[in-house]
Order: sequence, then structure tokens, then C-alpha cells
Amino acid sequence: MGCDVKILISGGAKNGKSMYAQKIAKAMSVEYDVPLYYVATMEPVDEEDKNRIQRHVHERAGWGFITIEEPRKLAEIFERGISSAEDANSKIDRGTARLENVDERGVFLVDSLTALLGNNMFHKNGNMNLDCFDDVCDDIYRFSMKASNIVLVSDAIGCDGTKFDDFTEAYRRTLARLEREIASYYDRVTEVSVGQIIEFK
Amino acid sequence: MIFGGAYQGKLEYALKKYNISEDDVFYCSSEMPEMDLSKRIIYGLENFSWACENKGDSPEKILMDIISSNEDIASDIIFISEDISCGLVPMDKTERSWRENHGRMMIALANKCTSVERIFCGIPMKIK
Repeated sequence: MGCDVKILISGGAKNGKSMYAQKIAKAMSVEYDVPLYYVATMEPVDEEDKNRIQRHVHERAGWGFITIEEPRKLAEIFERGISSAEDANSKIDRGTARLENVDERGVFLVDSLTALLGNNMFHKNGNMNLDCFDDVCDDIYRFSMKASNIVLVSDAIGCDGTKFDDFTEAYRRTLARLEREIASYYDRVTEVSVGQIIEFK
Repeated sequence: MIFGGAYQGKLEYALKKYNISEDDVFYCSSEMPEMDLSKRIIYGLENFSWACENKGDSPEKILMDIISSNEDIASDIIFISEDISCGLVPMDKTERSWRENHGRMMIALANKCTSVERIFCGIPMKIK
């Protein structure tokens, strides 16, 4: 079986990254005949977020994705048991996946690294952890060693002509470091620009 | 010339690929629009153009003057810049002007350079 393909997709906003990611994830799951998972990373804080999530859910309808909600720790998708799914501390809807049935051989579309880092760095309660690089990096590595096929979506946010405050700069720096680290061991690194696919690796 | 987004690994790539020691890097200052062309790598052109901007000078003109008056050694130099061209139009007037003048300088420099590479997630792509 042509399994074990890990792909990092980055690029500017509204250039077609998510759509491309969905297409290749779907194609991979069909080709390898394995389940197709969508790892939703967004942690809604207001109505606008909830509406956006609804829109995304609607856009994915009919693609055959099984949704897993995990805003912070990807590796926990495999580690958490049935009981932890009912964890009272995390008031998120775990989606439709029966957690005990998450199949490591599946295709996991993770959208996005940007949100994942945001949730780890800037907490809902206002606390910050600007030094979360090692933790997030390690979590993604452990997740990537378990999951056979991954399509990971990020955002290229390093090309602004503006001076940022220290927190924003820490976020930009950490996201870029994560991208570089992931790019070094993923099989493919792709930029999507105006809907076009540019293969870097 | 090497360019790419912030923190993409531009300098690391150049040091490794061309086997250059860190002592051989000139770090452009955002206060003084100057550079030492005896170094193999001129890093941080966005700081150089920022310094020019604050003095009301054209970074394109100043850089081209520096290069043409050092024609003999300039051909061996690696210029590295952050790509600052892809965000929203900056609200701040100085940043707006800096971004435009920096872009003009980059086009002129890329024309002069024999090789232009763009770094994305630490990976190079040859543009020229």
C-alpha cells in the first residue's frame, strides 16, 4: 500500500491552500483505501468563529471526512482514551469520530498549524506561553510518527512590510521555525499561490 | 541574492551552502545606511533600506552607487533580504514608503545578480 506520505502546505491567505489540501487528502484516502480524517484546530471564541466553523463544515460536507476536534495537542488524538473524550475540562465537541476507532493508517488533514500554534501560545483566559516552540514541535513530531498520512496546512505570514509588537513577532518567528522543522522531515513541501501548486520538496 | 519571508532560514542556508563563516557576514544596521563589501554576505537589506528611508534617501540609488564603486569585489557577494512585499499596505506612511523603495531596490539588485534564490520553509527555489 502506498502509504506514509506527509505533506506540508503553506502560502498566503485565500490562495486555495485548504481546497487543495482537501483534494489531495481525499485522493490519498481513496488511493490507499484508508479513513479520511479532518483535524479541526479552531477554538471558537465568539459568534464569528462559530459561523466560520459552520461554513467550513458545510464546505466539507459530502467529502467523507470524519471530523476530530483538537485545538492544541495533536498527539493526544491517539493517546486519549474513551473516558478522556468526556473530559469535563475541555468543553469542545469531539466531533463525529469515535475516538477509540481513530485509525493510525488514515489520512489526516490538519488545518491549520497557524491556529494550533495560536491556541498553544495565546490562551483563552488571556495567559500566554511565548516559549511553546519545543512543546508544539515535539507534539507535532509524535503525531507525525504515528499518523501514516498527513496533509498539514500552514500560512506564510513572514512577508509583511510592517514592524510588529514583540508578541506578534514571537508568534511569527515560532510559526516559521515550526514550518522549517516540519519541512525538514516531511516528504513534500508545497506552496499554493493563486491556486497554483509550487513544489519546493 | 537570497530573499524570503521572515525567519525562513535564509542566512543559515547561505552559510551552509557557500561554506561561509559567521565572521564573514555584515549585518545591515537600521540606523546607518552603509555596508562593508569586504564581507562575503551582506545580510538584512531590509534594515539598510529602512535606514535610507529614515534619512530620506533612495536605497536603490545608494546601493547601486556602493556596488558600482566596488565593482571588482561586488560580484562575489551574497545579498540577503527579507521579503516585505506581501502583506497588507502598511498604515504607517514611513513603512509604506519603505516597502515601495525597498521593492525598487530589490528589482535593481536582482537585475545585477547572477543568481536569485527564494527561501521557503528553509528550502531554496532558484528564481534566476
